[in-house]
Amino acid sequence: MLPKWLKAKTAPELPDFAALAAAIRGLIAGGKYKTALDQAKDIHKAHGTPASESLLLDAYAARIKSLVEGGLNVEATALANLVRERYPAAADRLATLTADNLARSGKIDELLAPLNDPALSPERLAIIERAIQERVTDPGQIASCPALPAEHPLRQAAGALQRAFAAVTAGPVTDEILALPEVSRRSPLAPWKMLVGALAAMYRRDAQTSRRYLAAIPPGSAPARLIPVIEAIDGDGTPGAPLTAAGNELLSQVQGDADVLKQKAQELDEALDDGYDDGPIVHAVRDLVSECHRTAPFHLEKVKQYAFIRARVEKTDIKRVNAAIGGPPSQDAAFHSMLARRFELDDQPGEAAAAWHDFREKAVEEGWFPAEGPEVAAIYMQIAGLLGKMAHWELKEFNVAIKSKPGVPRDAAALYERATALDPHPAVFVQWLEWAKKRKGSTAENVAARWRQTRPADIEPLLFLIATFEKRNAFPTALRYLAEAEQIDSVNPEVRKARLRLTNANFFKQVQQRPVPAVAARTLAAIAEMPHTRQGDRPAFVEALHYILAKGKKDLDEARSRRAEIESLLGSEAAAALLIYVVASACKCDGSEWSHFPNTNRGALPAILARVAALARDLELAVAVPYAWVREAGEQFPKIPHTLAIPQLRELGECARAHHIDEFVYNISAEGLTRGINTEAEFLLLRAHALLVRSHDRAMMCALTAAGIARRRQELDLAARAVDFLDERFKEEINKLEPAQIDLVLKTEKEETKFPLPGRGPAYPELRGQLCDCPSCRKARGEKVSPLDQEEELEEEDPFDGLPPAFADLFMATMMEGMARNESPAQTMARMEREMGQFLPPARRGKKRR
Amino acid sequence: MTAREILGVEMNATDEQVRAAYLDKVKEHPPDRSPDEFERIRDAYDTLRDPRRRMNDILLSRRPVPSFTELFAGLEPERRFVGPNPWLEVLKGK
Repeated sequence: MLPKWLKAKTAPELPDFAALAAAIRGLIAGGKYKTALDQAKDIHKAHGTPASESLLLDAYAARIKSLVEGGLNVEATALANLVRERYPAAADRLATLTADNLARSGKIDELLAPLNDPALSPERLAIIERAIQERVTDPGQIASCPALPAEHPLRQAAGALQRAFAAVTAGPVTDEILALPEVSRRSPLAPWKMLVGALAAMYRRDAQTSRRYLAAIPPGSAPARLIPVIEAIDGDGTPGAPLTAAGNELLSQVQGDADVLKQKAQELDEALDDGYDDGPIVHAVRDLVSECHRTAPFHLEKVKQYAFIRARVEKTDIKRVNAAIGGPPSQDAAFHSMLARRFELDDQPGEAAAAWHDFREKAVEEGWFPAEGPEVAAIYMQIAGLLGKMAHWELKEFNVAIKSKPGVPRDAAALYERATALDPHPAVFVQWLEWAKKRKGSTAENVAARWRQTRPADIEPLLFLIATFEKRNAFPTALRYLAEAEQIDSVNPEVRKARLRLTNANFFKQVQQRPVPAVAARTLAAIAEMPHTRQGDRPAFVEALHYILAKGKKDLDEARSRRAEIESLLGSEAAAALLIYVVASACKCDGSEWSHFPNTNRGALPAILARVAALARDLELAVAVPYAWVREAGEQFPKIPHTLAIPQLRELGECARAHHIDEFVYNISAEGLTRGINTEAEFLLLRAHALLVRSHDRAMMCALTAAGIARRRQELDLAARAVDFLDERFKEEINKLEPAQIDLVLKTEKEETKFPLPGRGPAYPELRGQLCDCPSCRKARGEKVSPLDQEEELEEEDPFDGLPPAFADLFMATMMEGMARNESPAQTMARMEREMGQFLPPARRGKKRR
Repeated sequence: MTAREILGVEMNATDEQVRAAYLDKVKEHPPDRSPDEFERIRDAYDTLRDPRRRMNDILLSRRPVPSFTELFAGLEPERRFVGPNPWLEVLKGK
């Protein structure tokens, strides 16, 4: 029917066709296909020109296309057939629409049938291929299409794609599956090949490759409809463009959510940490396993293993846990190793040892390592180590547990024996020997002998035998082993030191005998001939040995001559006396006649003490310097500032520390701290020792600072010594001290040159983030202070108020020293009387003390 | 981190797997660009090459069983294989 405006104008005055055609095309563009078709029919009826027929066919095409897109395939086909009948010339024009319609309606047979025609025009072929590319949504439709023979390349390609698509969406695939040689680049199914590649890359989390494949998919092709979903999965999960309902559903299905899983994992950890009740643990295990099964199935077995191990170690009801995880986990070698180590760390050596045996068996079975080799030796040693930690009842239980394992060594000795047979490595023998040293009898010697037998070129067992026999004073045997050691490695520093030490010790033993045997003179001659004894002050030491021998033989002339020689070598009567005292002590001879220091030149005493102490240390003699000498050296030390070298200060520091003369130690540290940056840490640590009894927190801060400086200077041994000195509270502070705070403590300590009164001097509470809790400081901070607190503070004021400060200081120092020596108060008082008696007037002495 | 963790190999990795993992890591952290990391990788490889040290890496591991929270800390959600049908449904335009 014509519109009113058209009806009004009759045939002779037909409106402009161009305007009518434009109106029709406007309706088509606006989606009003039916109206456009009806009006086009009227126009064609009125005009009857080829132009009006063309306009009508355009309207038909638009209408058919709209029916196809609306899923009204039957109506679309019927209308297309009608048009084809009425207007045969329009057949080619409708072919594209027909092809689309066939593809959309699933009539693949009809769509593909023309492909069997060898005379098919290239134009028609292109139309069919375009329809395949843009409209076929499942290659399976082509693969199973009976219109084409099975061997048709398009069917072959579609079959291969169908299989590859199914595989790539069902699980991990190999590259062979993705190769798809059946699908050529020019095939209408080529976009599907790209889609399969993109999916495989997406599942492999290779976003870059996935993007490359997606870029190769033509935008109008059917597979292109999956691009937004794949891009969303490869991205952060948010689609770039709105997805269809199916697209959203697919996105949520493919993408997992780990948040719930992580929450469940945390809940299980918390339940295990609480650990008092099995119920919540089992419940949390069940929840986690269930969530893991859903979200992260690849981790499921690991979760089961971990849950089982934690339950076994922490004694949770294992049956309930097994039920919660759906049966015991796979118990492979890795599982047993984790279980064993976890038992070890939980201090359950019996369980750990049994689990290591299981690990060994499984690992060998799984081909981790051969049944006989260094790996198995290492496991045997681990088990042997654990056996040493087991209580008697645990050993019994362990033996029962491994009863079923034939040929497994059960005790530590057998384990070590097997380990060394499997791997005769020095490290294995070292561990065996360490174990044997803790056993009674000659076990360790037997192990050393076995070591020598297996590895005759190793020096370690000989060094052990030398030390063992030296301890028993069996010097001839020790020297015999030493001779063997010298044959293996005569330049070994331990061997070289042992020669002098053992010969000396042998001489000390001989010279103690009465009458002194002739062999002592021969031993001494051997010592004197050693090149080692010609270095430094050692000739004086040899002369001291001659002196002791002469004394033992009661050859007083010889003794006098030797003593004169010592005095000449050391350049001092006092040094000679002290050296003779030290050597006499080593020989267990009475040294009392040399224990008093000469009255002349006492200012030289610190240097003499340092020299003899250094010599004794060099010769590995126990330094037995008399207390009175050290005390006097301590008195003299402040009078000779800046005269001693650093090594001398070190020796003095050791002597003073050995006798717990804290003030002397402090003074040495003060002197040492003036000697430059290289030794600051060392002398700060010495100060820490001096202050330990008197001012604990300050001592700790000194050690903490020393550790900080030593670490800064990479002096690791010193840093380790400083850290060892710290108590647990201060060890926690080790990484908290800032460089500026280190500098502040160092500067303060350098300024503190006087030994402090007890509890006085800097304690650095502000550096440790602590506030002083005394009433005065609390009051200064504006905090409330009760009168009771102030009273306490008054009571806590100096108890020595009114006494001469020097006396109070001395008294406190002596009491502190007594505590450090573990003396009872009575013992300390007695010592005080002994040491201070000479300074007190004779009349007061006895009376006061009682 | 243990030597195995540094190279990212399993406890039962073969010599070839250890070597391959080492070479991969060296490619990631060449000595000229990240010398410290390379040093760590090299040490780990030396440990795992020696059968005694490799076994000690297992025998003395400090944290044999991490907490469950740690196990999943870096976990990215796994992509589920849902089969072809949900994908085909999207193609059909539903």
